[in-house]
Amino acid sequence: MENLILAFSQIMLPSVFIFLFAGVLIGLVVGSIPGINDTVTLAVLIPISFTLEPSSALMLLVGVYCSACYGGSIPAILLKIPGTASSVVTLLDGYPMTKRGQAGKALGISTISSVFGGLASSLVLMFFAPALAIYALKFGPAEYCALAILGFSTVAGLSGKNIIKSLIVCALGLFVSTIGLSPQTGFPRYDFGSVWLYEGVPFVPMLIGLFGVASVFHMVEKMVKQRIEGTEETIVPEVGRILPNWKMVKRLLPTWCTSTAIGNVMGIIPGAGMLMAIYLSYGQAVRSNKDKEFGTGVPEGIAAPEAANNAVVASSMVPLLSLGVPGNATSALFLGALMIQGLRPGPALFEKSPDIAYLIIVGFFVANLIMGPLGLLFGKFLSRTVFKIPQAFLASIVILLCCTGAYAIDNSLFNIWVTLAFGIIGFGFDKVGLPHAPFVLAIILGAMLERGFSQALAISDGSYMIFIEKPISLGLLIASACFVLFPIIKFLLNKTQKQR
Amino acid sequence: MKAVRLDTYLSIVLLVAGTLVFMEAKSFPQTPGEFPVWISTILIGLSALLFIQSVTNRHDDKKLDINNKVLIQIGITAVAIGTYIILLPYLGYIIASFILVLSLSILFGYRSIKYLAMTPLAAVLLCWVVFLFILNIPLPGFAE
Repeated sequence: MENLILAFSQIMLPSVFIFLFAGVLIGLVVGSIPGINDTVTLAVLIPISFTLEPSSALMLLVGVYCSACYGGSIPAILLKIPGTASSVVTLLDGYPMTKRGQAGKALGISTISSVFGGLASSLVLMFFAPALAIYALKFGPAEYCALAILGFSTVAGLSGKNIIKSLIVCALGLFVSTIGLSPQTGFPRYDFGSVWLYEGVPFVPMLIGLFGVASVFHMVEKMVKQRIEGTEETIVPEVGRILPNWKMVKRLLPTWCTSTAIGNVMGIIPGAGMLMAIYLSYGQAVRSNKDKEFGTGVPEGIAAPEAANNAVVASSMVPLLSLGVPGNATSALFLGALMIQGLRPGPALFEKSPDIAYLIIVGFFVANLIMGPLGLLFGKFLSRTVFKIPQAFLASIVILLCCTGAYAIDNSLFNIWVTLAFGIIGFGFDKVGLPHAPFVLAIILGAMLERGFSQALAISDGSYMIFIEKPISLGLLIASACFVLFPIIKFLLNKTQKQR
Repeated sequence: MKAVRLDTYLSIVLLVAGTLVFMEAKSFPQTPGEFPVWISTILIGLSALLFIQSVTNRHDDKKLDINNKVLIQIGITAVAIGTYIILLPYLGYIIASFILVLSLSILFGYRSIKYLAMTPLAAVLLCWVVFLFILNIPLPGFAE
């Protein structure tokens, strides 16, 4: 409690608050630009932030992460263009409302839903992360190894259509994690004769490439297609009244609660991802409102995905802050941000730098409080200005920022090569249907798995029983087995029922 | 649109990559090589599974959705970035970055001469000022 109060007082310092406010504002703007999302912005901002004080730097990133997710709903509702992947579902009912002349109402619902989901998940982060971190202090090498296995099993169990592709991406990520000096013997592996790779593939430049440069390649693809198809100029519709009335708030409350709960659970599970939370909550809203025709401009169709995606934001930080395992790709970028500030996420963060750990937690809560009024105030303004920025110019500036950011981390041109290479890899992944998130997760978990496994075996004199004898490790391994087996059992049961 | 059976070709590429990784891992001493051997074995196994899946369920195997013009533009962008990296130490940050932003803007179809004359330079200078003077990060050409 004392730490929380201290964090609240720290956040109110002008030098810290201004960065949080700036982050929320930047997030709103970039989120509403189609093609630029929270991961791209964070990837570009991390190198910029590392010269700042850790408190200011992290508040800037917290602000961006919170609001970019909401900002994506603005073009989704007004133009039927999802600003971020998280707003894909929002447009299903948001755009029909705009066509009916209710753009303002749709934006208002999106804002309030996002704030509701965001505030609720901030509370989850506030209470869960420190508690889990205290528990995680008991973790030894065997437990960390089991935790890494749990991370992989969630990817396997919760992956979408093609489980094999998700697992292949995990294997590729694991391979990347082995590049560099071996943690046990210092033997160089897959270094291609380059000393630059002795410490492994530079993490932040890799993320900048995977998310920043790859997104520019997607913008290029979109621009070329638009030129071929001769797409018409964007016309922004009238917005009108934004703030929803009390009757609407009461109507949407059950949807917000359900979707927020789904978002929180999905956020905490590493690898589950935002899209899964959005689709699950939208599906739940459809089931709970069978009398309404979704896809025609139903307010619940906006409230459910928006509350869920913002609920994922803070809750995805629970495993990162408490265990050092990122919940999704964006929180993996936070891992990079903490690392270049010389901080190590996990239980040690709460022990050694409680001020930073609690500041991040409180930052998410305050960022959501700022986002509400800012979103309502700037909704109209953003819809008029941001959509007019030429994509061609934007793409070239993002490339410049990616290159400059990658170089700035340790004044190395090699970093820009890494950024370019992973930009191409990231775009290639998208084209062949390989997901990005398990790749990043596997790189982080791979190091944890190898280190934990070898240290655990060293402690036990080579006996694998250490993983079963330790209750936490055993519990994690059982949970991993459940994650993998549950979808298989469900599939077999469905098949048997169909045959009957 | 190229008529390429995506997953079939992807699985073959991954099989080859997995085999190369496995062969390299086998050349490592036992302890540092243990983990890479596992990973490459898993990768080979999964690639084989993907191959079988793509051959047995051909209706699920999509074609590669990429336009030749897109491919050329992305290729030129990648070459431009590569050239930028090579030229950066010789031309310095401002000149190299200005050329990069200007050429990419034109390549991506930004045609307003009035803006082309001003905005790339303004953006590069802004970036340079922020990194060098506000963040104290030395950039090439102005390192000392």
